[in-house]
Amino acid sequence: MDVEKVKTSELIECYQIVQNYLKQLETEKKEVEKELNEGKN
Amino acid sequence: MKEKIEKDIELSQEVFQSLPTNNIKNKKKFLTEIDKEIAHYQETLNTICQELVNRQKPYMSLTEHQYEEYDDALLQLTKALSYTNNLSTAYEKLKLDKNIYCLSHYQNNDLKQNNQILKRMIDLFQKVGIPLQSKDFTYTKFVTQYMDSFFSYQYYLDSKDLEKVFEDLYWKDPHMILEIELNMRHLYLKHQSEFEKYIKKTNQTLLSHFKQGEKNLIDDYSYLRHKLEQVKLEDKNNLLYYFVTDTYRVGDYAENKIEPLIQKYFSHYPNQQSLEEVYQDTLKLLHSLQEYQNYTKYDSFIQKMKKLYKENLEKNVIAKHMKKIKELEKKLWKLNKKSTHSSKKTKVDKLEPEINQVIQDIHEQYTEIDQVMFQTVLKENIRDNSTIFKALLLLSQYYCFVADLCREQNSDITYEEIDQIHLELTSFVLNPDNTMINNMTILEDVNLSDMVIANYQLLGIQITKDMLEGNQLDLCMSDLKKILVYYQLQKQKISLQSLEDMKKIQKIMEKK
Repeated sequence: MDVEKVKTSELIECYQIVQNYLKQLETEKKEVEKELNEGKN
Repeated sequence: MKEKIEKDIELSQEVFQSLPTNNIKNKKKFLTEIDKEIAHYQETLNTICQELVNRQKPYMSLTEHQYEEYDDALLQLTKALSYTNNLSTAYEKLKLDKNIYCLSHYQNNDLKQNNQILKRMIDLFQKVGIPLQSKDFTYTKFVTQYMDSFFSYQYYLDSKDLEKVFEDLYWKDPHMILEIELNMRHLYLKHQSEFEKYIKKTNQTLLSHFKQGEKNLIDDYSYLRHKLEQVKLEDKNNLLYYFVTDTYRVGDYAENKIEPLIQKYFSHYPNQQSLEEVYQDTLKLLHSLQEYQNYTKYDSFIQKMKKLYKENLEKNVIAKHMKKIKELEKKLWKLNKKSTHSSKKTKVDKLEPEINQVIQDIHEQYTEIDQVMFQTVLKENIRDNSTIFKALLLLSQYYCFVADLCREQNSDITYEEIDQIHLELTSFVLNPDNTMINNMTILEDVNLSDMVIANYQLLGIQITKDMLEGNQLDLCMSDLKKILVYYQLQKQKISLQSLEDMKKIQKIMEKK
């Protein structure tokens, strides 16, 4: 990914978008892990 | 890039929505896939983050410029000006007055401080070419004894042995520090002509570098003060540094904030007045407000000088006291000669009460001199048409009077605080941008705020009486400083967007 040419303001927005999506993925992962653990029990 | 990331995420979301999690096997598969996706986006985040860190580095490595070279040069010029002016004597120029003042307030000092003051004075005599010895300290036998030990330990003033000597003698002679002070005053008077010669010689050397003598010194000082102000205003490093450290807030310089702020003072902006013109007028106005604020700060000093100037003073009062001191000292030397007292003997010297009385009388004479000294100097140097500038310049040369005025306002004031006030007063007096104090005479009773308002109204600048009162004045000056900063941002082509981005990255880094 060629980040060097991207404007700083856009890069900050990208950072926030990716960070939010990562949080979303982590939440989803936790939910499925929880379900899996409950199923095992 | 943003668009691509958004599309990728959208696609990724669709994929995960379609992945089944209805049984253990599918759930495990889902977790494997989501881990891969998390790793992928974490890597993307790290790449972006690294780039943001790289872009932030120049801001983070900024350090504040201190301008020490200018401060040092100004200090040297201030010192040279205090040497070359004819408003004070060698006693003030070499700061003997300050040291004597500090020693005379010995109750406020510990022994170490008193010894340091003493050492400074002895070093001053040495500098002038008068190497003092214990035999020069003859006010009392105790003084001679202490100074004998002092000279032995002068490079080890923290010595416990010296402390012990002091303690032993102090119980026998509780007025010993006062006697040392009077002895020092006596030694200065004895060697006064050598001190004056030293100053004359130093001044010749100082002024030999300048064709026009003292005038050049003043010109150099003014030039340097103006240059320092300009360098500070145009310093891009510090401008950015103050945004990084939140001394300046980016939001204050947004157009919807700064334009109304400029128009509050400059109603013709932007139609009939350019930003450059606003900048020049803002500087002038800020100088006037700083002068007004300083004038208000030292108003009690000015009023006291006005009062002293108007009050009558007995003719030749100092000469009369000096004559009396000479007579009393003659008497003291005679009594000391006759005295059989020895500190080692337990027998009380029968002449001791008389000796103590003479010393007390000498002390009273000096106290009276100190009380009328500044008034005498004021009357010698100031005329009805002399300006407030001249009176303040005179005051700045007399530490003792400044210190007394400070103590009148705050009896708990420390020497460090007095030094700071003295330094600030001198800096105010020598400010080349002063205009009002250079034109007001000592006898004039002018309402300075009216003067400021009227002057700037003529220039079309809106300043009201309310703006000059208390906290409002600070607020007004803070507004004007913002206008100066805004001008520099424009001039140096620093965009608010870049500053906003820098602050956002700063927040991101703080959260990490």
